[in-house]
Amino acid sequence: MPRHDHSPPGADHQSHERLLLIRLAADDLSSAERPAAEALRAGCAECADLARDVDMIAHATARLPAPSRPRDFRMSPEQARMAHGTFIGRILERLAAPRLGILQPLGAAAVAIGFVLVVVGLGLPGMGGASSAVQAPGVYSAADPSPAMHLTGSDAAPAEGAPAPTAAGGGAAPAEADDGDSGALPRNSSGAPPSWAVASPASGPVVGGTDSATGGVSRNGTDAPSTKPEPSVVSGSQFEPAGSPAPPDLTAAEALEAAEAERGADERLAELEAGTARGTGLVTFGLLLGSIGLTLIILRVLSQRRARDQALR
Amino acid sequence: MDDHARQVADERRVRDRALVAASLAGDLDAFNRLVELYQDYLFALTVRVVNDREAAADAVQEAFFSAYRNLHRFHGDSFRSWITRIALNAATDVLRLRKRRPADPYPEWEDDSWQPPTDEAEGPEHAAMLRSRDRALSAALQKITPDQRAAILLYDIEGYDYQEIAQMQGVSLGTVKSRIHRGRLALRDLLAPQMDLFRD
Repeated sequence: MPRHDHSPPGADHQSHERLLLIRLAADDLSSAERPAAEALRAGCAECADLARDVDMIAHATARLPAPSRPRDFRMSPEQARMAHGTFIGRILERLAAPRLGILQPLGAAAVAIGFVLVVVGLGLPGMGGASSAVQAPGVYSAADPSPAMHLTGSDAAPAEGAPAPTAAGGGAAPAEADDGDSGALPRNSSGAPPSWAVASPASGPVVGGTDSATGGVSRNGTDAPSTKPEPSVVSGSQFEPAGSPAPPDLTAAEALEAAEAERGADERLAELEAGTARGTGLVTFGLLLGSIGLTLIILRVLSQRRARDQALR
Repeated sequence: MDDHARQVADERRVRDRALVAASLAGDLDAFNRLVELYQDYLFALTVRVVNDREAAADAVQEAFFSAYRNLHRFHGDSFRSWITRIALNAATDVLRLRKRRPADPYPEWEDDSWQPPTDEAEGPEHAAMLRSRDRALSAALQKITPDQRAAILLYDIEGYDYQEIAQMQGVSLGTVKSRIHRGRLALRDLLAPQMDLFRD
């Protein structure tokens, strides 16, 4: 007989395992558990009520009336189009496909290769890299007083008989790495590089250019007053210091040496220009490759995020 | 499950797979046929989970949109199970949103208008008792946890077995059993003072 007074269950019932009875009602007990559950149901009125009540609630739940839907959920063609999203959305959806999972590592590899190409390209001669600091034979730095000519300052012309018209140290030589000029070397009208130097007091024959410190032009160790401040222009093995008298005749050996030096400088210059072209190409290609790789990664990540439909979790 | 029920289920799966294939080929009518077949069932389930007709309708609509968008991802055995899972997830989102903005927690409690009329053949008193019982049960169902509620509804009303519910809810078999058993115990405790309504 079921209980109807709903009085508090007895003290014994409080200690009974109620879930065991629920599982008994649901027929979800192992053969080992079943005897204990059945003993509870047989020996405790509250436990018997519990098992029966749970069964009745389950039956009542199954018979709950089905609520009628308030509207029709069929899709119109417009809704179907909207459900598929925009053109960009469809592209992103395709990018999110599992078979395109290779895109991300591919993009990462492209970024890595692009980075390497940029680094290598910047390191090439003429791109301001370390190799551009290597001096060509016959090129002297300002710190080395031994050659016949010291090239310092911003305005200098090649000395007659000097090994090569180049500059080093704090000068504004085109091959300098830190001058920020990584482009092609400027050339004068005859194709030779405008290399200007200020004569050093300790040097031998110093020619051309203006000495901003002394305000004069040194030539063959003699000071000459500067008549024109602009730098001298060197053409081939000759030079024409503006406002200076014409150079004296050179000996044949000196002329030959100067010509060789000039040729060496031309070769070096050609090398630098070729390096610059190669470097620019590599840097451009590297940047392009890196950008493509980065774009691929971003698109893939975006598409995956977008495709993560919350309702399908 | 007896042989007849198994045969019916198999026929339903074959039919659903054919409709899904046609939908994927661009036949919107085929998809709408699937909607026709499952909209009543999904709404009835969802409205019991969220206990709000408008929210349930939105959840069902969203479930069908999601299903349409992701139809190519359906590789399962049963479209019914798949769409049920989607609808339950949509209903869970509705509940989560409501928890954040609890403006009107259980608007359906006082509203019997949405319930279909009960059988009056056994007299108005019996009909009134049944309505009271259903209302008490619905109110008690809303007081147990959403996970327990969904599991009990799927088991008692929709007739899924533990394993199918585990797949739908993305949990283990033991978790489903625990949810159902503890939910039943909680329901019984809540309904203890009104158990007379259930003894007919």
